[in-house]
Formats: sequence, C-alpha cells, structure tokens
Amino acid sequence: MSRHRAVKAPVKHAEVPRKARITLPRRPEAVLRYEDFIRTVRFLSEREKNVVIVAGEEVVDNLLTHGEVGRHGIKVTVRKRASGITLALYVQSHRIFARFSACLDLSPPPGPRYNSELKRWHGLGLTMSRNLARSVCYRPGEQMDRVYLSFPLQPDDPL
Amino acid sequence: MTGISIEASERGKFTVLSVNGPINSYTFTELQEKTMKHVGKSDLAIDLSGVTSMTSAGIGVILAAIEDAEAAGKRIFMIGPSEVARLAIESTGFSERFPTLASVKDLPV
Repeated sequence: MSRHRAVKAPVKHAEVPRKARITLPRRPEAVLRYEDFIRTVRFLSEREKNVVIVAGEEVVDNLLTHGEVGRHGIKVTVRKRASGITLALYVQSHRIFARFSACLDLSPPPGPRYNSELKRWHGLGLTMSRNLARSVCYRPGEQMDRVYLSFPLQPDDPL
Repeated sequence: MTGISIEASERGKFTVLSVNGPINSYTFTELQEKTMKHVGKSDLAIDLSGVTSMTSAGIGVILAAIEDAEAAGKRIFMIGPSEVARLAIESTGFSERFPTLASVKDLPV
C-alpha cells in the first residue's frame, strides 16, 4: 500500500438543471392547474413562483381563450439554472398562433389600449408578461408551437 | 372549476368587495358584475388580499371600475393586494393608476 495519499482533483459537477413538467388540459381549469403546479415546484423561491404564476398564467389564459389548443393540451416545462428560469409552453401547431407570432415579429407590440366601444383592454396581457419576464418569445413550429419566457433568479430574502 | 367568491360589506361610506380566489378569463365576469353594481353609486374598496392569481382580464375590470368611479366623482381604492395581485398590478407599468391602501382601516371617512 502506497504511503502517499493520492491527491484527488476537485470534482467538477456539471450543473444539473432543475426541471418540472405538467400537461394541462384544454379546459378552463388549466389555469388553476397551472397555478397549483407552480406552487408545488420546490426549486423555485416564493418570489419566483409568484412571478412565474402571473406571467405564465397570462399565456395559458391567452392560449385557451384566443388560440386553439389541440387535444394534447398544453405541455409546460419550468427549468432553473444558475443563469435564470425558463418557462416553456407547447401546444399543437395552429394558424392562429402563427399569425399572432408573425404580428409580433413584424412590428413591436403597441402598449395597452382601451377600446371604449367594446369596454375592453387590448395588449394588456402581453405587456404584463413582458414586464415580468426577461424575454417572451412566441415561436410557431411544424408540429408544435412554443412560447418561451425567461426570468432572472429572485431568491427570497433570508429570514 | 373553482371560481372566485366576492363578498360585499359596508364600511362608512364605502362598499367593500372582498375578493377571494383567482381572477382570470373564466372568473372575471363575476368581479365585473359586482363592481358594475356598486361603482359610481357609492365609494368603493376592492379588497384583493385573498386573490390567488390575476390575469389581464381582472386588471381590465379593475381599470374600468377606476375610470367609471372617477367619472362619477366617487372614490375607489384597492385594499392590501396579495403578492400575486401586487405583481400583476405592477406589471402593467402604470400601477400609479391603482389607488391602494394597506387595510380597510385606512379608508378615509
């Protein structure tokens, strides 16, 4: 047995992203299921959960009310890395999504505006998501349409 | 689907609407009906401390109520918004449009 103790090189651990997934039904309760899901994600701080709930729920709500969600529902993935949090939502491809995404790419979205005839606000949800997230990206695809939101880390205050 | 519950009560000259639960595209009509019933007729306080989530649908209802109350010369306040309600309001970029108090005890007489 060698008298020299082998010096172990420090082990470099590759960063393992923390990830959680859920598939939401294409029914109104998807909004509540989304909120419940995010509340149970252990690797998010309370602040992060609140931000991801408000911004993500807006997208889920929009997909259900203005888009066309296929029979596979909405697949949601939330990941946390040292660089930040990513929320990805996937739905079956639909032309409404592609049209909306193309509009966003062609011109920067106008701010929220009130239609006094319809008594409705337009563009408010997108503004809210954009103000909460570092980036919001709508990407149509051949099979699946995708919405990506990224957020900075927001650790809770130490007690 | 679990809806919201909205209880109306009186405090001085104010009608207080206490909202509990989520406000989204599927529940906002209840908030809209209750606010439309009172807004412009009496001073109004909307207690948001029990709100579990809020989308732009809810924000839109509250903004409309603020505008209607102001047009009618009535006072309107948001009371003690929960963390998610506060975030939703701030994320609009014009949170100064939402007159807010910490508690119903802070309502002016």
